[in-house]
Amino acid sequence: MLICDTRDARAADALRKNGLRVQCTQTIMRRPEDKAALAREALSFVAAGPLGGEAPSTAFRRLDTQP
Amino acid sequence: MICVLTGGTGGAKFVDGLRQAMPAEDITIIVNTGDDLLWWGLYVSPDIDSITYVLSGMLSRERGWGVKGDTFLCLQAMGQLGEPTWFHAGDRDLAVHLLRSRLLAEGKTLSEATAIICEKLGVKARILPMSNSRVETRVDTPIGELSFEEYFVQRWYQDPVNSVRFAGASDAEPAPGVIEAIVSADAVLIAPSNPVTSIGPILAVPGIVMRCFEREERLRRSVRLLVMLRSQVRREFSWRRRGCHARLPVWRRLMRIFSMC
Repeated sequence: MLICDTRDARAADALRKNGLRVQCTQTIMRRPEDKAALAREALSFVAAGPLGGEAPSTAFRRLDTQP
Repeated sequence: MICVLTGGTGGAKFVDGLRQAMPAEDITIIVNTGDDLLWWGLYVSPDIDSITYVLSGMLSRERGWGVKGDTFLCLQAMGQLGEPTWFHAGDRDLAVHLLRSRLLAEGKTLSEATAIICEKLGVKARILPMSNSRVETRVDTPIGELSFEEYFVQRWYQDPVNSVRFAGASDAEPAPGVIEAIVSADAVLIAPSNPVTSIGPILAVPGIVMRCFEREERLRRSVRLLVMLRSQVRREFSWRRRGCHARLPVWRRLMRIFSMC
């Protein structure tokens, strides 16, 4: 599972195609509320439920072999 | 229980947010020690210090490191004595370095010293160094190999980077509690710290990646290995390593670290 910045949304699409669960959100933490928001988003993302399909490690390794 | 693998700056911000979102007692933080250095004869662990300070409310939010409101009288005095001053250790910061160094000299491990300091500063979360063995991030540049702090703080990360290695990692063992924390956690979060120089050393300690993957396979129906990336990392480090590795986007570098471990 990956959380990436909204500015990396294009990369997120490529990662999703390779079987990873990817969430795009604001990840730059300038203010205290940014930090708490990112933490809450991360916790709800991991609690969101089953992924299904292949394990991320498999997807990681496949991504690494891609040109 | 949540387990976080982290470095010191972006990771400290994330941990600061995490303690607002859940009880600090339920957080175990495994911290990079590849940046550790001996400074004026004292053992300094910059990432552990940043995490400790943020969780004790002591961190200087303006600087993002060190103790808020700290003074630098000792730094000035050391400069007058002709000692190096490129690493800006504040006076209150030095108190922690002095205590840690004394505890280590008395035979305590880095884990034990960290636990003692955390208790004294009222930190409720559990902070674990990635290893009690010395693992040092070394940055190869055209002017020679530098420690990470020499590269980053002393020379302002201006040198092109040929490669990065983690000296001592292959012989290191995870610190007590690290594997148990990974295995027993409800989720393992990899904080938005630099994937090469903050997360890389942790994953280079033998056993840590395998345990992450093992638990991931075991919990496959609800995979909870969460990696966070931020595009800011891309701007902070302009790796100029020859070959394609340096030009890979940050997420792919992290994938490569995982794949190689």
